[in-house]
Amino acid sequence: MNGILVLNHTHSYRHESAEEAALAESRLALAPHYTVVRRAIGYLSGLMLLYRGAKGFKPDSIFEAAERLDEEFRELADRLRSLEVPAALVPTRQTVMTSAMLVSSAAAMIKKSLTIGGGGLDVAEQSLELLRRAHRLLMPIHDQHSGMMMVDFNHACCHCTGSEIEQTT
Amino acid sequence: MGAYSIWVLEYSYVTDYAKSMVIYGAHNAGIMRLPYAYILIKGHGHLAMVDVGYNNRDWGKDLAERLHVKGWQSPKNVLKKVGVKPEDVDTVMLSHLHFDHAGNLDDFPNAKVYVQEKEITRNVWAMSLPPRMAFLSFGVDPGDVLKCVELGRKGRLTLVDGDADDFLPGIDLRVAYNSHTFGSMYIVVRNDGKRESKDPWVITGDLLYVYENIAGGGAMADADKIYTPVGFATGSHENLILTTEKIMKAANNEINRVIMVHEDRLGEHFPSRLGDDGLRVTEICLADGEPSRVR
Repeated sequence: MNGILVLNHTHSYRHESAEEAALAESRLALAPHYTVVRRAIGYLSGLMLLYRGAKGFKPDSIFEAAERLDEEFRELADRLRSLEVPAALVPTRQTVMTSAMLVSSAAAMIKKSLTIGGGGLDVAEQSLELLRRAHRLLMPIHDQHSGMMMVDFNHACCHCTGSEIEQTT
Repeated sequence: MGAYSIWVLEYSYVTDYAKSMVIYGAHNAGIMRLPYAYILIKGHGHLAMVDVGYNNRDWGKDLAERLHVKGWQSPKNVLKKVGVKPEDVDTVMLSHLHFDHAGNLDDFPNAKVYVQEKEITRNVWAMSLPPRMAFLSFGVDPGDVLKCVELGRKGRLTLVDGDADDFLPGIDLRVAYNSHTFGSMYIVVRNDGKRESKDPWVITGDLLYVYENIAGGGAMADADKIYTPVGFATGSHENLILTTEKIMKAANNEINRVIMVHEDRLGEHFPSRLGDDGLRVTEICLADGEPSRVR
């Protein structure tokens, strides 16, 4: 049989065709980008929360983070645009790319708002809608099998090894 | 009888949970039923929750397929068993930020939410680290952080800085830094209202999962009864053990006064009722005049 032997999450093996293997490989290539975007959503929105609610939180740190993420995520969107994927994965790539652009836009908005005359926290908080949209985009495409995970159940207190470990053949 | 009624309300469960995740060092020790639950505290004019569970819309399919989680019921259905509506809950204390504890705030539209400040600050910091260090922010859904921001803007979220005595009358918040998580919280209910209470209940969050964490057979040592940390943490075992000692002192060294939401055997120690949905309601204590919901 052509193809490769794949160990899946239930610890059983199955054969995959070359097309399936290419698809799986592309998914795995996209997964780190998905992870970076979803972590940035948590990071940026968390900074906004601390800016409003935490004692002694310095606005400088949110400005610096926004400056860095604006640039990083514009570059990430460019990299994703040029990432070659099978046709079946183009919508997924597009979704991750759009989410990255939304994070970049949110960061740019925060950065601008926190400069002198930029409107301050209230204007910066408008960026939350962009982050929410990015989160909403990523949620439906999350896929535990390929590592595109909004929450990593492998590293969560609810993780269970399961009882479906199958004998390989 | 005291000032508060307390119920442990299961909202889903796993039948084949690895014991090693619950008790550190219990490798190859088999599997167990692990309930997911939150806690309702009623008294002094308050309806307060400790944790809110997770959102089945977002996570149900994955959890069911991958982790064999079963029987999820909404807060509306679960709270109905004790005659309460989610919209009547006025206070939510989040023991920590993991998605299965903090992931369903939407279902409590009128509650004010309290979480340790360090639980937020350190998780935010952890999310800024390279993904190879993602272990440090495991179990946290960025969507829940977004939800917290929204609540903060509406004045419904308070970041708690350390311990808080009489947070509600007779209820103390206690922080355990760098333990199960960066800023896990346990809750002490002094049901007689006295500072040196003779009627305390300690709600542990995930600082303790099961009785073996307090009085186990010594999974890691040849001893009859030792404290054994939970099987999963980002903080230190030292802090978990020292926190266990504090919890036991707060519980007057009575193990049955320690309330763990993942402990499947609470029903052996307290009145309880198993519903047709496979979910248990356990009645820890009843305030003066409060009717039983399980008999």
